[in-house]
Amino acid sequence: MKFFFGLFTIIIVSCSSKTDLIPVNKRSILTDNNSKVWMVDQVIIGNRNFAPTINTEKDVLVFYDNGNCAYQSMRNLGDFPAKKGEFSMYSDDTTLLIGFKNETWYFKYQQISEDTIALIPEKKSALKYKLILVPFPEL
Amino acid sequence: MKKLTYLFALLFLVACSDEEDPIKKPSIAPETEIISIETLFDEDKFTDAKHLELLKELKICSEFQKDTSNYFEPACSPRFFKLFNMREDSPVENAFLLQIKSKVGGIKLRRLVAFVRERGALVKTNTFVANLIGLRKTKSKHYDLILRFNDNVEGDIIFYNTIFSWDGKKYVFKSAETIEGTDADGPWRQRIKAEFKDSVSRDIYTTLVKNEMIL
Repeated sequence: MKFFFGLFTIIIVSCSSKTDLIPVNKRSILTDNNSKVWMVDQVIIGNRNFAPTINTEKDVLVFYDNGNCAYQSMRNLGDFPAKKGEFSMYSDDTTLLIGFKNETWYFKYQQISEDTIALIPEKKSALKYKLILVPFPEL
Repeated sequence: MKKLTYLFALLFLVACSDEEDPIKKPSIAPETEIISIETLFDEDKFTDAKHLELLKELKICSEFQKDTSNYFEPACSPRFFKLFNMREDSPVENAFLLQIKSKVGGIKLRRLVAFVRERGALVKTNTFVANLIGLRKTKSKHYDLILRFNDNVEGDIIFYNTIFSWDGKKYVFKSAETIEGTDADGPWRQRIKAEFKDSVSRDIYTTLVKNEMIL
């Protein structure tokens, strides 16, 4: 009986790991380590979603691995220059900051995965809309 | 020989110049004068005698009705109707906007109807279930309309302030400018940011058509 207790203890102790967990780099979710096009699936103002229902009428947000980003309406792609800026992402306090020439958007990310990013604007943000981003879908 | 060299140099420069302009710069409208409007329907006499004549011509009211609490057979009174010029340079009888008070004819919300005179007769060009809150001067002398529409989102009232422009035959939707509402923290107002204007305006226009606010 003592032998079994001893064996269990050894198994349990051997299963515990003292290896430090490596935090997931959430920035790579945003950029895919290169550049990633996200579609602005929902634009929530008040309690209502104001994004068009048809995907081709929505906006896109592109994050580049070099820290740049671009916001543009899909209908204007190629016709008008995108609104270009730089972004910073802080995994510790779940903050995403997008700085444009004249203004800065501050978000807390409520949800972040390869499939969805939910961004909640902070009080100091120049943009006050809640944005739900999804990877650019097949049209 | 010298002339030929110059010619070649010129040709070379012209060939190297890039005349392509693939990306258009978004045009920014110059600041235009806006006339703010607040219609209270609290007057007993029209500011212009022509207004009464136009209402009679439209047969939209009863000239014999004296009771201004009767909304189903409304009197031809500024208590129910208000007229605005549609153009800066044209008399009111040729083109005008008619704001109708809420509850008139049993309709709960305010309506704005646009009329133009064609071959002597008044023709209706647009009907909006909206409140006219402003007119914007334009180069064409046809005022842009700043209209405020109501929406009900899960019991909460939301207002859309929008702009309509004259296209030569009728008013057409141009953009949504602001969204207003009230939540637990009180009233809020969001100006639609330039980069969202295209997509958000499109969604608001779809909602207005679906809700039969633009007829």
